[in-house]
Amino acid sequence: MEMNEKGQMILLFAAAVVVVVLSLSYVYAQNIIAGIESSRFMLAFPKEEIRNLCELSQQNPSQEVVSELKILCAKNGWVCNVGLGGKVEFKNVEVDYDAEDCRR
Amino acid sequence: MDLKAQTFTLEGVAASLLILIATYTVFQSTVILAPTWSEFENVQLKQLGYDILRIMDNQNGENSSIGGMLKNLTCNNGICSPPMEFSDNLTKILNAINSFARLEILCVENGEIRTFILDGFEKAPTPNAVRVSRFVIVENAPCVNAKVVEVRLTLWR
Repeated sequence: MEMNEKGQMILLFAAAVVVVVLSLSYVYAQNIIAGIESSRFMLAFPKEEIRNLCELSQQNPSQEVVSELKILCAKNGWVCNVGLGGKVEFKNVEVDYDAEDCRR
Repeated sequence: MDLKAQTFTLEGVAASLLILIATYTVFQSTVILAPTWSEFENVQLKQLGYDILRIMDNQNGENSSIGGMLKNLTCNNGICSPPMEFSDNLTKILNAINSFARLEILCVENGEIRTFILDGFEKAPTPNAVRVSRFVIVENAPCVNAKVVEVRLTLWR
């Protein structure tokens, strides 16, 4: 009886080690994926396009400018809109940006 | 005594196999996402392109700026010649960052998008080129009959 218990304890500890190793590996992989994805998103964020639209919105664009801008944006696969007082809208496959005042 | 020792050995072998299988599973299931160097280079080149367009969109730059260039364009069959100051300015910047560029101007005329290619910057880009653009409001531009244009810069090394 004593012999069997000792033998089972070795397997039991091995199973515990396996669980710990798998858990740590899962957490490690999740951290790496989260880090890469967040840094990629930061690099892909269209900050320059939004800044450009923000500058245009401060030049009091006419209705004609806005309608031509929308067509040019559509050619690039974006949905853009600018209005008075820093109102900027920018949408692409990754970002949905809508600001009442982009200067803030 | 012998039986006890053999059982321990068997249990030890089973335990080591268990750990071995778990370690193998961990290494097989690990996701490796290694961004390549070219990806970082493209991001850097793209930022340089945005910076070039930003500094050249200068209200006080006269002929060497985007606004001055648009006012003094001479176009023929879709190919437009920018002022010498603009070409020199852009060429110097491109030489400083060891890059080549293609510069296009897009605008909307009568509901259709027209594209003008700038003389001196009409080379065909390589497959690993990056593209940046900037919208500029224009007034009294001779070639471009539009209120706003997209200045599109394609950069490669």
